[in-house]
Amino acid sequence: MITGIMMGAFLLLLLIDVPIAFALLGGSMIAMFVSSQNLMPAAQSMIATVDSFALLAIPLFIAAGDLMNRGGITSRLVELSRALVGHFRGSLAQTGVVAAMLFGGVSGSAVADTAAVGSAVIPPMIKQGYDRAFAAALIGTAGTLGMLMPTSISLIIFALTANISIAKLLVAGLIPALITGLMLCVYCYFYASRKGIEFTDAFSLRRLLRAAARAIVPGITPAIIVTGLVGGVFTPTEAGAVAVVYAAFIGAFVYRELDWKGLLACAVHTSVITGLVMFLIFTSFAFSWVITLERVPETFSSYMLNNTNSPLFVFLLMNLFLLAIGTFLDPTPTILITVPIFLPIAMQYGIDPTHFAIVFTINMAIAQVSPPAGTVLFTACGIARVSMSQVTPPLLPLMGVLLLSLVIFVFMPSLVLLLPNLFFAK
Amino acid sequence: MSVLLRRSLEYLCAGLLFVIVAVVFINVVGRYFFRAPLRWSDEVAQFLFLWLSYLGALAALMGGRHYSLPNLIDLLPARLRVAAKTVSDLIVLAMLAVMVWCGTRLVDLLQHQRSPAIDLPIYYVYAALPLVSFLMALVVAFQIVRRLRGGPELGHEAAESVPSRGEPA
Repeated sequence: MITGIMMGAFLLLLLIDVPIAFALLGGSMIAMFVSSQNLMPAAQSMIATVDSFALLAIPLFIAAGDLMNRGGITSRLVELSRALVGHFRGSLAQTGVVAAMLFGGVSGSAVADTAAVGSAVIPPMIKQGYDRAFAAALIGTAGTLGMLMPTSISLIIFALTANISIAKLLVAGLIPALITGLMLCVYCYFYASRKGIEFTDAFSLRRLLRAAARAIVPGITPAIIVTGLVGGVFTPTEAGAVAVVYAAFIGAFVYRELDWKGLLACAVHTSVITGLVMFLIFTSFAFSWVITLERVPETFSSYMLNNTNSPLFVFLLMNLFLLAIGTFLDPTPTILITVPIFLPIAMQYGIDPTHFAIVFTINMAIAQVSPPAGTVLFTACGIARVSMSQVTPPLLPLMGVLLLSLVIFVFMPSLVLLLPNLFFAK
Repeated sequence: MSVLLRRSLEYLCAGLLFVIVAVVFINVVGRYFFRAPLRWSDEVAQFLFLWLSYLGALAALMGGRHYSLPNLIDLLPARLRVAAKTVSDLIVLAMLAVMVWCGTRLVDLLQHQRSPAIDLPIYYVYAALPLVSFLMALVVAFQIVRRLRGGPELGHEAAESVPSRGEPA
């Protein structure tokens, strides 16, 4: 009953254009008024967050990603991938996949990253004879995969919401991301063969070495994060701070592309995004406080346990639900709103939280490129100047690749858990 | 005027962020190179971060940047749209009033508590909740009046490139 009122109020507020964070707040306030709860504990949960030091990783990762972009690292990495795979059929498309994946997760918004990488990769693809619509569909698809990479803000937010280890989850995303990326590259190869698109340029060792030398210094930034986490040298927050200082130093003193103005712009950009993400996180704490109080997950899971005992069926139901809401809601609010309800249910069925997180993220990736409303797809279409209906035919096989990877990782938790179990004691 | 206020707020946030990065980084360096971890650094970073989050949320509100759904209201004829947005802003205003009230009580309740590492009164941090809620209420009230007078929505003058409403750029 109370839950119904809360959800109803939340949806109604969204409909009249109240920002999501305030709609969450309004829903929980109304629920608490109706059940005459004391507001204080919920209010306190909005600021006395238990582990705000871990949350601090979010702005630091955002700042590091932004600094890498401002320091010209995008173009250097695109150049490196071209020197590396330039002699394969469909090389430019594969370069696009690699670059989009590398940058997909850094700002916590697949939309922003697709915009950054897409404008570097899509125009040359079109010039080389790729179909406009295919280029848009491919870069959008690959861009969402960044959500699985170790620089992903979405995974950090998931780990914090689900109360699981950030480092473990960031490492867990690596194998699924690489396998799915490889599948996309293979698809590009066959696509290029069918369309008769040749390779870009002959292989040249000199060129490769030069490109590698140019990319290695900025490329260390994500490497700092990964090795720091895996080696247990720093916490994710500290890894973020080290990456920020390194990226700023390189940008300012080695490449001299970053001045005070750029540094300030990066800090302002990071602060504003931090503000909107954190405000959403704080209000969702109040929301999930009510959800826990009303024992919503228990109600749902006892209902479901009465009807099915198959974890696969539960996965299927959640997948369908996430695909539906993920097309119009961004990943951050999707995680914050649904995880407190879904994860306890999944755990009732014996699903590992880390495995669940990865499947959940692949789902969001698919939802973000789903027509007609997927937000990343919109961005990619904007850059390639194609319409939603033009982009749909080349998109369908690419979404097929993502769906295939979803099925693989639903059925093979061992593949997802391989690295985390290798690096971290259970 | 409003642009100037927003700019100064953004610079304030940027300053906080610089200090946070410095504090966390110095702690890592201290721990690995001088074997002298700082006892206060995590707590200081955490407190500044809470302030940064709330002030950043205020800056995001002033820039019209908070996440919202693609909305049907935008399709309404102008007068109805103004009416609907005013209603939704009034509801937000009511929520903010509750937050100011809750926040003030919270500060009141915890006025004798001190933080473990640096022994700072804990309400220095908690004050962010009522204060920022109050400032947000001012922004929303200002916006209601401006809209009724035929003024634009928040965020229209955002100088930076904003790809679409509510999306981080």
